[in-house]
Amino acid sequence: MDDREANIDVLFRNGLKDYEVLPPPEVWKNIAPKAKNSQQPILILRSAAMVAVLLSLTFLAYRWSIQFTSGLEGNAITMNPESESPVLDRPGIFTITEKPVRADNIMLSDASVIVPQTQESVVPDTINTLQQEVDHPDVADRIPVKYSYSGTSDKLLAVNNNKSVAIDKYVPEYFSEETAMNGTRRWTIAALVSPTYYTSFNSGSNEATTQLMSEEQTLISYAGGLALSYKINRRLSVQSGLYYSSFGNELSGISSFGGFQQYDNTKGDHNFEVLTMNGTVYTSNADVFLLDNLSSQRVVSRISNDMFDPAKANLQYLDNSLRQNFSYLELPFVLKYKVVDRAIDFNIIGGLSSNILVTNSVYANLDGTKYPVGKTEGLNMITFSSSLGMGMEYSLTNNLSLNLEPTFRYYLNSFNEIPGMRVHPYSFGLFSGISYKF
Amino acid sequence: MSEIKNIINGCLKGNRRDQELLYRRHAPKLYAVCMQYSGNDEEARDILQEGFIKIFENLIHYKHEGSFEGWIRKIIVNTALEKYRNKHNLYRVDDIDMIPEPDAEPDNTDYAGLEAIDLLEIIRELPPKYRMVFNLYAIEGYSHKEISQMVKISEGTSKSNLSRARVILQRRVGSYTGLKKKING
Repeated sequence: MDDREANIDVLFRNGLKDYEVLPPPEVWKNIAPKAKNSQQPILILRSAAMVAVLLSLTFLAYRWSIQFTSGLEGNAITMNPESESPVLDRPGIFTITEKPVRADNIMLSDASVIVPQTQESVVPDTINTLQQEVDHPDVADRIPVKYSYSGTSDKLLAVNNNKSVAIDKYVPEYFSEETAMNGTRRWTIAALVSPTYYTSFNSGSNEATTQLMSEEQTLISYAGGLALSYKINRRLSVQSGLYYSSFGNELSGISSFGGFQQYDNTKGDHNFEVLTMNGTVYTSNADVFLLDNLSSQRVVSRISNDMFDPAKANLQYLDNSLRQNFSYLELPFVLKYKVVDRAIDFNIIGGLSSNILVTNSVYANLDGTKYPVGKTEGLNMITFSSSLGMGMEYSLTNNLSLNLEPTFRYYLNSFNEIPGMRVHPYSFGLFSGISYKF
Repeated sequence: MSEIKNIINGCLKGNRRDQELLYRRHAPKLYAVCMQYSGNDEEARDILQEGFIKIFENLIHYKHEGSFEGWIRKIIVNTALEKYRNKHNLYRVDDIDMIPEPDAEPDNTDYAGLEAIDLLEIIRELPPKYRMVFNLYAIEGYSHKEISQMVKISEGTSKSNLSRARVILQRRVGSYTGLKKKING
């Protein structure tokens, strides 16, 4: 009985192995919309995660900058309207001294002047030059006389006649913008790189265009370069530079095969044309044979089935999609406006760029190596783009800063003029890098 | 990169054509599995539909280790199992006496002439709980312990269901081969 039972198992197992039944067409019709949508939550989650990370970073940076600045404010002096003398924000840090404090030729002899306890040791003997006059309205309201200051590395010594007081250089409220700008470094050079998500939308309702868009996926791109900026005033800077950016599309469903040249007896400059959102790709590699798996007639060839049957030929399979790659040299003109001027600065960045095409290639990916296929015809050599971003800058030293700039870029003209298509490319990048002030 | 890997990557990017390519390539074999686990075509279609949606949703978790065909088959079988568990209260046929008697005398030794479509028809006539246990044990190769956990029955029930399923199948196969012999003359 056991053997017979086992036999019946084997009979069914072997008999049904590899058995196939064609499902009714409506099954796929029900699956297709859900299958497409099933990918969207992942994209939405990723986007949401990215936004959440950016917001969290911004919030934390802002909070930290407030804490950092309030720490600095503890060392600053304020003015007492009654005594017309500086008083302490945080008692205990400063003490009143009645003894004259020597700072070369500057003598502190008035008991009403408050000097930080540590200032006696901080003020160097070399301070002997009164460089500039301070005429800040806040200070001037309370002190009817003009104060002068001379600079050290991080402290200023305000002097009125024989009265002298140390003021923290990093407290901008004590100085007018012009005064604050004097002696600061106006030029900044920065090196920035960014992963970039590039995509486009089609404002036309052409069915063929929509079909093409669904068959093309953007590849993760990158951009990077040098930026040079000049500080016009404490808040406004103008920036230019030179950037290199590279991006591309994956044309899915187009299989490529190598080894076609031995079968190619035709003459002509290219064997295949592939219609894409960014223009028509012409193959320049005569060894490549292309096949559109999706039968959407994107691939046009002058090699008919009568002339060549790929099924009978000995071709090497390369890839089931083509990759279209473009790279540009960008010359930006950007304005930066400093919104928050604290330990971490926040800037609004906006401007225009002219982009010069430097690389135009189409290739198949064969085990990680690029197998050249051809290039996209009719691309505009120069395109223009607008950009808007938010820059965060954290000072490491007086000269060096770390930068983070999420930037949105919209291309004012498309890469290629294609009749019937109105393609609007745009990108989002997260630039990060280091800058040097001089 | 292998072709299936490319197709999977395309599916992960939400490419409709790659999704369709994956479906067209694997649906016929998986639909046969669905039919094997279901009593009627409508149920088989539902299993295939739900199973494929799960496949697309879970592609991101596929590690490219082992056979992809095996991985998607497991998803389909689990979908069938889930459907069975949701409906099992409706299946009350658990007595062998309720199974209609075969039309012809069984011939237990001669299976010649039986085709896959006949086997499929025979297996689909089994009561659901016998069909489920027989499929999981004889076709998929699970043990009674595993089946007991999957179907939420005891190991003893699993063994008993398998035994009854075999008896019924034996009879059915016999009747089919007997009928075929009669028809062929």
